[in-house]
Amino acid sequence: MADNSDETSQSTRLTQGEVGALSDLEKRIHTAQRERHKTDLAESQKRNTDMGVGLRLSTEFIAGIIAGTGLGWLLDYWLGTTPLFLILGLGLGFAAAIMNVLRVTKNMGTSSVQTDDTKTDDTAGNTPGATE
Amino acid sequence: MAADQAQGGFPVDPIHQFQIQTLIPLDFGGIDASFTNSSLWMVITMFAVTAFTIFAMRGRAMVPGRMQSIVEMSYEFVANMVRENAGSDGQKFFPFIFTLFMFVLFANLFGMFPYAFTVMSHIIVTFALAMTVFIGVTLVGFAKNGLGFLKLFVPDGAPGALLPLVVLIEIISYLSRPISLSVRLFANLLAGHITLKIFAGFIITFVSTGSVLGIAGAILPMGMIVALTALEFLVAFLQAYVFTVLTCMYLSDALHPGH
Repeated sequence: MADNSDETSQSTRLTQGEVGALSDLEKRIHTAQRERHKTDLAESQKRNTDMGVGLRLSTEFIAGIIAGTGLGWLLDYWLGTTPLFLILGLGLGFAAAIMNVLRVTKNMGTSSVQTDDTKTDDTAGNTPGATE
Repeated sequence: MAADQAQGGFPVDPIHQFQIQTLIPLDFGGIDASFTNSSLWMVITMFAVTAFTIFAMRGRAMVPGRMQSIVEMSYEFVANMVRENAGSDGQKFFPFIFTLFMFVLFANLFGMFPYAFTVMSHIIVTFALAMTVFIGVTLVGFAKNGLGFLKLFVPDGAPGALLPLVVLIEIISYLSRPISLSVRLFANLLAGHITLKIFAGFIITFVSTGSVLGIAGAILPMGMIVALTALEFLVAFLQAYVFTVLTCMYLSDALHPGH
């Protein structure tokens, strides 16, 4: 905050030409940052290997089925209704697994769209694509 | 083909590296709580992280030295991760997330040393970590939002007749989180380390043929090992990163269940 007001009071004392040069510099810094951010993103996307994506999706899928089936099996175990909830759980687990996968792939789709405009600070370079 | 030499089976047992060895037997009322090689490496990891962060920051220099800037970089890395994925109110949980990240990262990197034990290649370890995160995040969700946390399971715009089914599916999807979280970390490290050992075994098989062609052929798996080792270092970091990012995302769900 304090730095900011300092800067503005200083810039009022500058001549017209200097202000122009400064804003030009600012623009150049911004484009450079954006370029850097883009290459960072591209790099992180490259790191996002096909095998990584496959592993990510398959674990999400398997986890959904295991969770649903396990829950059904537990209910059967407690209630003594052996095949009923196991089968229901398998079906629901399958649905949950599909939903897990859809959720992950949806994020993958947006991460390439929101390349430059949504997040402009340079910290964003290590976020979206690398989520493997 | 020198099938007769290799008849005794594959020269290296790729699973041997994951065996648990009891170092100090301990028994609490029938529960085996022995201090094993796995525990030893966890303790080493813990001490290494603590020593690394404390000693590197001892100078507290304005212009950081090499070690200090590594610690500062990891601090900023995790802080940004928490801010972007869990929001600014997630910053309260930074100490936990940072500890988690450093522990998993160091455990994975220690696993790259020859003769070291890869702690995260056992699903019970990763599952315990994932359950800690899962239970903690659920408690935070209920503590912050009360019963409003249950909104997480009710997606917007679901038709009334289908709502019970959708909520059930959402709950199962929520319960599958610790499973996918732990399986991903464990499977990546297990698969990577087994692959390394198998390629190492190929070298022995090649060389044991004794022929010039065999020894020359051993260069191929050797090159593979070099490439895979580099990949494993990347995986070690990436999996620690993925584990913590997902923790942040779950935390964000717990803090803002509305969306």
